[in-house]
Amino acid sequence: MSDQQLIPEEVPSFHADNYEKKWIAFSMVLLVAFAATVAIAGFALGFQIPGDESRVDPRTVAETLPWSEPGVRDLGGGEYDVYIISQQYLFTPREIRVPAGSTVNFYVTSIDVQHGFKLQDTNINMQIVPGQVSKLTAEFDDPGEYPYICHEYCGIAHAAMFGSLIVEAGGGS
Amino acid sequence: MTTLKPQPTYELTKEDKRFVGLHLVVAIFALSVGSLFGPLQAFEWAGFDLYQYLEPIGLDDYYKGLTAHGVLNALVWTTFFITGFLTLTTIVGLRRPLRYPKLNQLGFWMMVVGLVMAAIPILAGWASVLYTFYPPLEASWSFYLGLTLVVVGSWIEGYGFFFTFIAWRKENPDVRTPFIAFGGLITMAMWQVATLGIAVEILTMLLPYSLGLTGGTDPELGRTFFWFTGHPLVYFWLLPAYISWYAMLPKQAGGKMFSDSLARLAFWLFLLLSIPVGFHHQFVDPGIPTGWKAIHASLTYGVAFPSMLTLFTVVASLEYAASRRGGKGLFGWIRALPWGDPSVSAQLLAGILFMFGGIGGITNASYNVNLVIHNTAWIPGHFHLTVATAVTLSFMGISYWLVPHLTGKPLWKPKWALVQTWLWFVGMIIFSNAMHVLGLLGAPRRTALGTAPYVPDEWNGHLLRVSIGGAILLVSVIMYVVTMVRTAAQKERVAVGEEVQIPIAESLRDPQLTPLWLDTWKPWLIGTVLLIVLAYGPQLYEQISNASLSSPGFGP
Amino acid sequence: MTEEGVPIGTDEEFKPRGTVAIVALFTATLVLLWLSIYLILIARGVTT
Repeated sequence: MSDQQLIPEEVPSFHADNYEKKWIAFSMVLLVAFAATVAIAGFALGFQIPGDESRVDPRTVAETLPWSEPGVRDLGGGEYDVYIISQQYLFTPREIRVPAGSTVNFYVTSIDVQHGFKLQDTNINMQIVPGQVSKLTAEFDDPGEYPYICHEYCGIAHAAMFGSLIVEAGGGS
Repeated sequence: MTTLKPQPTYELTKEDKRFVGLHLVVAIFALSVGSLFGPLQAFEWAGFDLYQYLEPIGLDDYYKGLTAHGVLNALVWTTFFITGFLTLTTIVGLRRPLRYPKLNQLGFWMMVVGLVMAAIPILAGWASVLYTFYPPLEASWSFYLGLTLVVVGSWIEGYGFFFTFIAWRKENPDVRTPFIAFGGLITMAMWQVATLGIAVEILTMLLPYSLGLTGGTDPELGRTFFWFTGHPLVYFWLLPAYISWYAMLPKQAGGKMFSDSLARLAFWLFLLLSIPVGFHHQFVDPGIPTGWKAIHASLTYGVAFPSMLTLFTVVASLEYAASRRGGKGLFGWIRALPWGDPSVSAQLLAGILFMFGGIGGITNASYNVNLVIHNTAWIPGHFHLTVATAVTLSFMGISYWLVPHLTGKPLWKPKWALVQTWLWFVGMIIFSNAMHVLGLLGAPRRTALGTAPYVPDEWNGHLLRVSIGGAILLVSVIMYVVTMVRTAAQKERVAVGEEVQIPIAESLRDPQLTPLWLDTWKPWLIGTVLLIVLAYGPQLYEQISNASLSSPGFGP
Repeated sequence: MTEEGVPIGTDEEFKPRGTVAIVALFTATLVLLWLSIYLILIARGVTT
């Protein structure tokens, strides 16, 4: 090996066009900006997704309280718990009524296959998995009717599976 | 060595061509059957139920059809095309035959056996569980076993590529791995790690319970295993298209690869980041803490980064090619690209729609924003832009030079092929846009909406647009299959010396100048495994150790 | 086409301005569409 100096061009080096380098930096900043915006909605404004709530035995869950009496429970102060059982091909209860101004905690499980639970025009959107409890809370200020539909294929009559949340005028306590 | 001597393309042997060609035959056959179900679904949504007429042949069930559509299009067309295409890029890239051809053949035939084993129960109605087969909706054991054989067969073809690379490396210790081969190796390495999820799900949960050996499964654990594989699955689909976009399309456009360094970096980042992100498909699942979901959301933003890199590098390569063809101006250069070449137009159109697929993807990944669109029609709207366009339309474009190359025959009616690519583009815009809008209006996915009682009038116009888009796509796919069949079936061969060449772009800068860390496997593989252990380890441990086989199987 | 054995360096004259323009359009579209879905999330009400 001679000890002549290698021309810089001949040394392996990472090379990127200057415009592309700027794009690389910019896209990293952009992704961080998205993350920050999400964090604002999540932690400052409180928009949360379902987490690890609790586990049940799908073979026996419907035999004991609270699931043995699905439906609305008034907790007082304008807060309600709603327990909904999903199965091929219906939600129980099929109809839920709460007064306007309520805060509603939805607890949903399945006694057979996986289902979905989507309350239209709200952010209540959950996977329903047998053995698990799906929980999410929303506030209902305005009266109206909100269908809730199954959006995870659960079998032949999946398209018929839906219920209805009715928010009644007259306000809660 | 610092000078790059241009070399004539390595010639595939007759046997190589036959072997690659066999992959394409299966792939295209799967696509032609799988694509027939899509329009049936789209028409059903608009209120045209054609299933009633298919009763005599047993295809009168929306969900049986949807399963066939998903499995044949998203799993079979893709896997067979990819393994065939990567066989070519390995051999031609490394300029040598496969190290153990019989190993690759074993892999291929295992995939074929697996395909038949899975197809029979699907068509017979014993596996109407959709391509995600979430337990405890239960399919016949033969469905699960068939899928296993397809996956294991693809592993074996991958091992064949790895052995070939090792042999090449022994003879070429200081040479940068030729890019088209490099891309294929990364794809198969990532695939090997990624598929461990469904392998464990099927072997430890789904096969035992469908054979009656266990009383039930733990469905949430099943979902976690599935989506361990399910996200990197989309990169298994995408990376081969990226190989073409980075290293072949520029040549077809008359240019070069804009940046060898960045192209390689993008692929390494995909290996590193494709897998530890699966919880973004489970944002609204029970049983998984929000903390882990947030970590996977952040990592998903990470894996968006190499695609943003790809956007710049590929478009710059095309701009370079266009400038060499006389293209000028800030946007005017686009016209100078060879739009008349159906292989090029397919991939350009695929890239344009992929931009919207990527935008949708970043939206889906955004943690709580996912609440707006999870399991709505937006989701198939999104993935028809990605797997069904970025990947599928690119594969169609690739086959417009690949099939002529393999058969030695000219492309049958290139003008038809050109029209086919534009029909796909237009049909997909109509279809996918309508699906995205329907999703925002609350329409669910995976649902025979034609019979759903909760469909408001407001959805009807969009449902109709879905069926119009679907009809256009049907015409396009028929044109594609006809073109492929007629190309291969022609008597006329191309004159010797006039054969369609495999397009391989040189890079603007000698790949030997790309630093060694972009051609070294160990650190990246270690990083990949480490990141998976960190991102999945604790939660998987929690779910496995608390697994409760309390969900018995149910039929659809 | 390159001649036999001639070193390939970077094509110094080429600057990907058109690419920057396209990528800028992409970014604008991404931000606008992303924000519109984000705003739908906000409009549909807090979930806790």
